[in-house]
Amino acid sequence: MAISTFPAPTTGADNWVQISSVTPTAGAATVSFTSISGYKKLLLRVNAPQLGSTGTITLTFNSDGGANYDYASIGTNSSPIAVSYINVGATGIAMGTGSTTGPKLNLTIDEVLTSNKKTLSGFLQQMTTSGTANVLTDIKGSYFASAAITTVTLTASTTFSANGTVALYGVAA
Amino acid sequence: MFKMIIDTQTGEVTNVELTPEEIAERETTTEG
Repeated sequence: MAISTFPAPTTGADNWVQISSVTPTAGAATVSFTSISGYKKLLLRVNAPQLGSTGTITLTFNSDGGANYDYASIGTNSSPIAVSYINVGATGIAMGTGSTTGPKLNLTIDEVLTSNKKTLSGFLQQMTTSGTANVLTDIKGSYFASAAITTVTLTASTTFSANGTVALYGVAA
Repeated sequence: MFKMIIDTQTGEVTNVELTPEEIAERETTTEG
């Protein structure tokens, strides 16, 4: 049998670079990465930013609170019971409800610079919610906008505490 | 209550107080 060979990496492969990484300031209502420019793909990594009091965290782009977000997620909770969520025409991407425990999200955003709808794909561990702890899901979705993404915002319905990290990575155009 | 703004071009992090209009909007669009 011939020895297997692996293809060499192709020129122009994605080279992810860290754009920014922060721990939310205690008392902040929102955390926004602004002036994003020159990246064809983005990766948002949210690692358990906690809230000072029970609330929700929602992700939006370009400060757009319109009904322009469709997404679905499917996975399991700690019971374990299969769970699924479908949101059409949402005003942002919710990361769970009613908790102080921060979510974990790895979300890749494509078509950042094009006039096409932005495609979203990733993994979400929702904020712990009473009765549905440790909800782990794959998440897929779209953000319907023709403009390039220049701002990524997490909005807390209460305020953040100084825990966890929120980081943004990109692939240069 | 304020907004934490990270300028990805300069790396500068600023905290900007919410305007009364933004506070009113939060009260109508978010749960808490």
